Amino acid sequence: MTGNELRELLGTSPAECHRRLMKEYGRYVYAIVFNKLRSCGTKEDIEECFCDVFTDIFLKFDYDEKYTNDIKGYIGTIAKRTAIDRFRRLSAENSHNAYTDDEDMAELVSDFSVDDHVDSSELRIILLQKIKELGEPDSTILMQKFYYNRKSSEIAKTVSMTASSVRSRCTRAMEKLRGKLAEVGITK
Amino acid sequence: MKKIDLFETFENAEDELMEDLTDMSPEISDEKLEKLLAVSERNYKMKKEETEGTRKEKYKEDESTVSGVERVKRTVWLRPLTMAASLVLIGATVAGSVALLNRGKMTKTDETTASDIAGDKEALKELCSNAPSHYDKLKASYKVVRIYDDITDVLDAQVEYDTKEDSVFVHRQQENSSESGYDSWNMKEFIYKNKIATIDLDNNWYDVLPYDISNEHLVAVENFWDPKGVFDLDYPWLGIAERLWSDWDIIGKDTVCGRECTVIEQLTDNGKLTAYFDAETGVELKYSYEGISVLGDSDGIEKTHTAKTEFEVTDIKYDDDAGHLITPLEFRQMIEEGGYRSEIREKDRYGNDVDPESANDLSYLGVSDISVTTTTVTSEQTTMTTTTDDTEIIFTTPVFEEPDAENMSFDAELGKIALAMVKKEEADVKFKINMAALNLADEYLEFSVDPEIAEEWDGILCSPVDGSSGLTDKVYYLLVDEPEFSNIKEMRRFGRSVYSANSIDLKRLNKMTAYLPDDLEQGDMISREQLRKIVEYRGKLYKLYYYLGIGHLSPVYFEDYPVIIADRTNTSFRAFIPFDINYNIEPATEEELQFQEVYFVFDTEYNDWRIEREYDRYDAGVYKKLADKVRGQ
Repeated sequence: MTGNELRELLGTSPAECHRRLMKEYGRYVYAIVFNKLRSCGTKEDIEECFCDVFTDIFLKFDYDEKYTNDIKGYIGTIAKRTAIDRFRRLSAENSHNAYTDDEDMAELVSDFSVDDHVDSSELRIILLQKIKELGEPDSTILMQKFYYNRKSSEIAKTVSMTASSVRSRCTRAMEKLRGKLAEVGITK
Repeated sequence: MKKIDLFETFENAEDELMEDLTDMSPEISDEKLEKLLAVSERNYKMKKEETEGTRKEKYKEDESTVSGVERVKRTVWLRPLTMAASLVLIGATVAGSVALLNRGKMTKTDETTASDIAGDKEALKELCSNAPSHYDKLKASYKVVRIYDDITDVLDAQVEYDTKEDSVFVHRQQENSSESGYDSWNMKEFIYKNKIATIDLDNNWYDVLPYDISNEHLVAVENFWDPKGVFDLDYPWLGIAERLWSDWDIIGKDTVCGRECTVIEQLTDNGKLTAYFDAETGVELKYSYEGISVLGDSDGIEKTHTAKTEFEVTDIKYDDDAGHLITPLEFRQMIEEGGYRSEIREKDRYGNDVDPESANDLSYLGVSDISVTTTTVTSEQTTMTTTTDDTEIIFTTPVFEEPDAENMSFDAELGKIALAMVKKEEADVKFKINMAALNLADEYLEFSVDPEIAEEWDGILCSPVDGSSGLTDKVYYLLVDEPEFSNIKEMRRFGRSVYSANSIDLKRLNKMTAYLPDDLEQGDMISREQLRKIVEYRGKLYKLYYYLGIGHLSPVYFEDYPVIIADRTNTSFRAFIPFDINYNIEPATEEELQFQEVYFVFDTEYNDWRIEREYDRYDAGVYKKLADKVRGQ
């Protein structure tokens, strides 16, 4: 929905407008918030920040009339800013409670070596490209397992598999990914 | 080669990658969505009620105080945008503005006697033209919304102005949107000694550029605290400064954020301007304009635009009520502790070349000249000498000043806060930062060092190669395995969770660390400033290899004995916290107790108390004497 359409809906049913906003942009906001708070926030911190972002969006929709067309960029900026503020607060409070999975497969993804001269943004692009080359559902499984820290049982529902299949698939996908990364100089 | 954790690489990803990360993110189930929606809706309703309540207060009119002045149409100069997406205010527009100022004719048809209005107007002009002389300190929050055609610019800001220091601090969050795009800024700025130091919080950089606030074309903020340019047609034209024609009217009084204001108005064929000035200080607290604006674009061609500007101060405090204002040195520390990257531009705002050698020098913001000696430091700390701009940090403990009985109490709440903070300092900050490099890997770096500098380390520098000590021309750094902190920035920020920005202990902690440049190669010579306990090099933490142990033994606090609070103000207090320096775990008698004298300040950056300085007091009996004084009150 465009900003105009949402605004029309706001006039007839604010609650429905808010639901549609969250449904349409929820994953996007979550991805941004998670990206900032992954290293310092708990699951509860992330969800709280997510809610703060949407509270802010709802308020701005009420009082600002300017966002009539593509509002995604605007929503993304609110999400980013709110998450950065929360990150600073959590870091100052020394909340180093990382949101971690309870299944120990961490050794699969740690201790990779990369050339000193490769910078982080370049590395992200390469890594993402290699993960996508694995195809579905492996790329989704790996990202949700090791980046979004979801349990195998949760991922299983998303990809319509059993939890044990997700675990096996994960291990095999990581082996394939390791091979692909080795080709570009990223080794374990 | 450097070690990475594969998926941590995605943290703080660029905006361009967010689409992919979104596509691979987990679905939000309907049940979860409803729960999250319920929380957001609840918070939204609460905030909306607050906002609606405030808006009704804000726009309440006191009709009985508005005088009946007939309004006439006059031409008015309009405020242009600061950083409009598609409008650029160029230097040539300044010259053009003089012609624009003279546009239109002024006629006066109101019936009030000219001398009555002239008297009030002259008084108002006098007040506003000398506003900073009516206060020493100002702290305010304000909002500006400017709408030009399809461009909307919204600024939320906080400002601190110290008239004695002649310094201005601003935290500015701004959003600019139009059909052609959206942009936003989150900046902190410090204007001092004809320079502006800027921190870009979203993009993690800082710079320092020349800046003459009295003659600034594109000013960072509305200069509402010093509106002298408003009534002076000869004042150098400023992009944001409110300019009035010679004819305007005082239309009455109103209240803005609790301050009584004189309200003026100007009406022309182009639009209507209303402005509110603090009746006591002359500070401009509110301004609104609606009409049209004539501006030059990037090609110098004048165009007419629809314009609407609303500026309002939402909170303001003067002098003592303003509390502590950020000092130049504190702003410098904010930059240094924040680990912001130094961004060097090619040209400054006046079009002059920026010298990369001297660019972004922060020394004009001040250097701490505190010297303190203490006998409480651990052996590790006593053997370490640190330098700041070639000044050695030494510690002295001043003689104890006993407060008067009436200035002391057993304040349970503050006592709890004080005790928690010193315990956190011992258990967390000192331990984690001292132990930050406890686990050392086999990997190490070797650099050369000037023997004179190596001598300052009293022969404790060691080699992991052959175990020899007393090195005189080499230093070794060992890689920290599984560090407590990801980087030095995180470590320094951790120190701020306990210490105030001015704290000598924070300074000392920060001086334990240094960044080694990426282009430094092994075998290269390192400087005195780079010879630190913990360094960050190419994204990893390393610890200086020397033979002393890391040990740290915390004192024992006895919570059966209350913390004494002394010399309390809204922004500071002293705490006497009983402990036993002999680390006895058996409770001492009150007579035997020693105590820590800890000075706390209220830190506005964290909205919490922080330790500014502390001294250990070993003489037995003093704590009991102070406690008896409190009990005897």
